[in-house]
Amino acid sequence: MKKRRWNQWTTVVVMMAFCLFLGLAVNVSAKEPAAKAEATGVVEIKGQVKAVSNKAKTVSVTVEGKGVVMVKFDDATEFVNFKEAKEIEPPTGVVVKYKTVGPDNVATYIKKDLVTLPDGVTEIKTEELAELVAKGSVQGNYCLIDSRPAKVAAAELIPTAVSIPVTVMDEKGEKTLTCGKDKVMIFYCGGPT
Amino acid sequence: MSPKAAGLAKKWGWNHVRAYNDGMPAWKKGGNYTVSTADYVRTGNIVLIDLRAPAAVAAGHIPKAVGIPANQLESAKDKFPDSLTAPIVFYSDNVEESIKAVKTARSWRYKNVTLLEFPGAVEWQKKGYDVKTGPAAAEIIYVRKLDPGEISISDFEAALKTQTIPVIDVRAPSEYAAGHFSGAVNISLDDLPAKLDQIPKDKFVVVHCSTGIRGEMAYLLLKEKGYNVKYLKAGCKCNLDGTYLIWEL
Repeated sequence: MKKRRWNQWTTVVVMMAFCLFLGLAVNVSAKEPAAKAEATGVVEIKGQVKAVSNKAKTVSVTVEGKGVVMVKFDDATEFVNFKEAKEIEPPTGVVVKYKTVGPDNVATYIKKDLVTLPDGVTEIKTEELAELVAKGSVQGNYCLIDSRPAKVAAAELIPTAVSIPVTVMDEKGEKTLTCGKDKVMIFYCGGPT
Repeated sequence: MSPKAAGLAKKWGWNHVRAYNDGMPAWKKGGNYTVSTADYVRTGNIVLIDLRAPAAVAAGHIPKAVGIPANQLESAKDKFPDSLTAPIVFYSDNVEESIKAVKTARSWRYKNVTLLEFPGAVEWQKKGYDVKTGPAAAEIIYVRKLDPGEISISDFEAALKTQTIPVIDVRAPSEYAAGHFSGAVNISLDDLPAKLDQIPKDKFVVVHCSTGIRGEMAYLLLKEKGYNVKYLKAGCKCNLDGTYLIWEL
């Protein structure tokens, strides 16, 4: 039997590279007055959406140093920077506050973590980058750097990009960047977190 | 990662620093092509296609390449693997032709389609990597490596047949009622944390949903609780009469 090919948005999860920020694991445990006997305190996690099931109203979040945390959401969940639960998709960076009710983690709050750029760094969008890439790095006077782990970058790079993982930059310092200071330096990774 | 890297560059004295926040997903969504390094092509579990004419291929090609001339690609769709996540890498001596091939394979819904980094075959030879002469392989052979915790489709079907391994269907009760694998027990993902005691801890168990999304969540949860568990990462549909279809995603 010839197996059918189905377009599943879910497979996107597999190829998404991770794009983590500094200090990812923020883990604040705040004690709440024991209003409901079965509910424990609110836990706040910050991480990256690994998977979402709207059928099971469940989102799993990868939290650095903690692993994958599975949290349910419901009508009472407050969504910030999302209009509705359906907009949540991997690998969005999120802040989730949840309570443990019986065996379940139930989200009271899910916020999309918006990217904040360091001072003096400007954002570039796909269209402008595509124009530069079409010119090439010499004529376009740029250096394009893939900040993801080397293995991920080797499999799939934006044309003309060079792989310099952010961890390597962090460890080895300025000498990892061999581009002239007159060049426009463009960094990218696996998407907004 | 990129905002942090950009911040470092700025700190180290580069004045024109920009961050492409939307990153790789947006680049691909925009219909732009991507490239793989020669090292990845040499060592990765990929499908490599040489798009050049047979004469050029015979003069020297990358050993693992399958020869499909660019003008015959459209009609070669059935040669490509079932798995839409299979990494497919094209190369040729013609840039336009290569980019067109990427678009064609993406239109067949393959998710990981790239070109060998330019100048492709030339760079390959410069690096002193192996080159094979004579005709290239005609058939694509691709075996996807299983992800951690994943059970192969054949092992899953064997488990269904023997009925000795508990199979847990983590879909919603309504989905289960509309058709399920014979012998599968329904514990929906929502109910799973509360119903852990219904799952034998001393036995190897398998979980599934309809795509692998909820299945993987269930797998991670059970694994963390100390269960010996695998999940089906595939599409599946069960009918009321017990027949079913499972397919690679």
